[in-house]
Amino acid sequence: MIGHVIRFSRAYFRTCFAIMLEYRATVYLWIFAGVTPLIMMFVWRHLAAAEPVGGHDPKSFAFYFLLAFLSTQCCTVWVVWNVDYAIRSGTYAIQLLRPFDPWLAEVIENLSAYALRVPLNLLIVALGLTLTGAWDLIQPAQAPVYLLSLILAWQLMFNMNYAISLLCLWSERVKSADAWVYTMLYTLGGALFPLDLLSPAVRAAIAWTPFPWMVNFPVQLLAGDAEPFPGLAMQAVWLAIMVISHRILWRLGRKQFGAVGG
Amino acid sequence: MMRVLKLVRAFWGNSLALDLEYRFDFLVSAVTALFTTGAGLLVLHVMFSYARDLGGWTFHQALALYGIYLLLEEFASGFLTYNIGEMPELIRRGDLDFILLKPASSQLQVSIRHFRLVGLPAYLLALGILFYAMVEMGSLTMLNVALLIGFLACAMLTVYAIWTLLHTLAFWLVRIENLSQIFFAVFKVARFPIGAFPGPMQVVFTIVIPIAFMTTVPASAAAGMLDWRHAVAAPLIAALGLWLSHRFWQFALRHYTSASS
Repeated sequence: MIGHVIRFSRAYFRTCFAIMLEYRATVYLWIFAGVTPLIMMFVWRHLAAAEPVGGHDPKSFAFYFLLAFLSTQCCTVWVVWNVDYAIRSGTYAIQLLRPFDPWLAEVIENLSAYALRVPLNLLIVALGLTLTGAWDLIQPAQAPVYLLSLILAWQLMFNMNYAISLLCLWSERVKSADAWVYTMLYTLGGALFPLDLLSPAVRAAIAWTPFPWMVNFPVQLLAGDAEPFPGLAMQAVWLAIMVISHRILWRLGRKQFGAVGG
Repeated sequence: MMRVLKLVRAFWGNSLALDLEYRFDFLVSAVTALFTTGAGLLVLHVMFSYARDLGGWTFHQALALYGIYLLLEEFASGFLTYNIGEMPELIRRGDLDFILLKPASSQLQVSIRHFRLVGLPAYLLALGILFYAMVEMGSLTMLNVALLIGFLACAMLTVYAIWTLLHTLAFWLVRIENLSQIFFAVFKVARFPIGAFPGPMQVVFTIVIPIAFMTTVPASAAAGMLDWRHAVAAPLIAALGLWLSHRFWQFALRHYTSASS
């Protein structure tokens, strides 16, 4: 069974990667669609040019937004669009016939694009850190937990979107919900302003949502401003909630799904 | 003119019927508009709790600018996307041929085919913000409103012209759906006063890509602080854009040989 899954995964990854490679211009263009944190970096740096804003100088803003950009780039998933399109065009029925959970196929598809995107993302971040001289704000010892938190953030965002995408089994157009999740990710996640600029009460309220743990937390972890413990646990708990939700939706939705045109 | 109105009624009646089919989508999109707008307001709030001005603009001036940005953003994402933005798809599938056969201007048909009711909450929210900002600034006079409407129309026509110029490229390149992504990425800059950016970026966004003109001019009209040079430039840019886009469209049509030939 496990060997089966691994064989499928490898073959499917190769296929998806070949497709991504063919559409590489599109894949790279989508990076461009996520430049908001970088635009915010320019505005905040300009604001802090004369005197620090809330304890941040231009260098600290550069570090924060470049890494927040990396966080959001690692949390960019389009599974809602895929599932929505598959259900409306009828190709979802074919996916259901495969002896694999469509979830796995979607994860692999997402990952195959990251294989192309992430090197370029890292290049942009490295260039930015060099130009602003912000390399020394990184705590190298934190690298392993940082990586772990990024992977958890990606999986959390992915499974949250997957749960939403399964709502397509009931209503045929939930694409708008996708925009909603991204707004929350960017705002409450802290890609538009560092969350420490908010009042403590608001921060505490936001901490109960999954979003700050996906963008703000990994950045703080890398800077040595946050402890790994409550953060990684919050990520894991939210991830578990999302996985359980989409398993339940999957069970219920599959029963009442009738192929479009069938 | 009567024929245009009739066309609009037929097209938009159709779109309305389509939108009413997807009521859940409408609800979600209303909630989304609420959150997106709220997010933008939160950003301005956080900025102004630390700074007195943003590139020389006060909070309420920046708020008016944000209202204009929201209007134009929704105009692009909720209207242009479904009309002129469909060009690559129309060409690839060969549907453009049916449009060309109809006895009305093809550019007009492609430009006004769909009107999405789904965008309504976003427009109302944006207008609400603009209205509130003008009341707070004490600039809500008949003259300012008239100027605002005039310059907003110029901005919308400019955005439309840019989209048409970009999407007419589809006659040669076909696969260019993502051009609109570039537009949205660059346009995000327009939600802040241009003075909020470092010097070199200001030059780029005023002269090279005149993004600044699109939101800055209507917002200064709303705030009653219109610069006469901008007031002259904005209609000229809009007129020039429209003329160029129409000429380019006609030029492209002459080279069009249908999808399968």
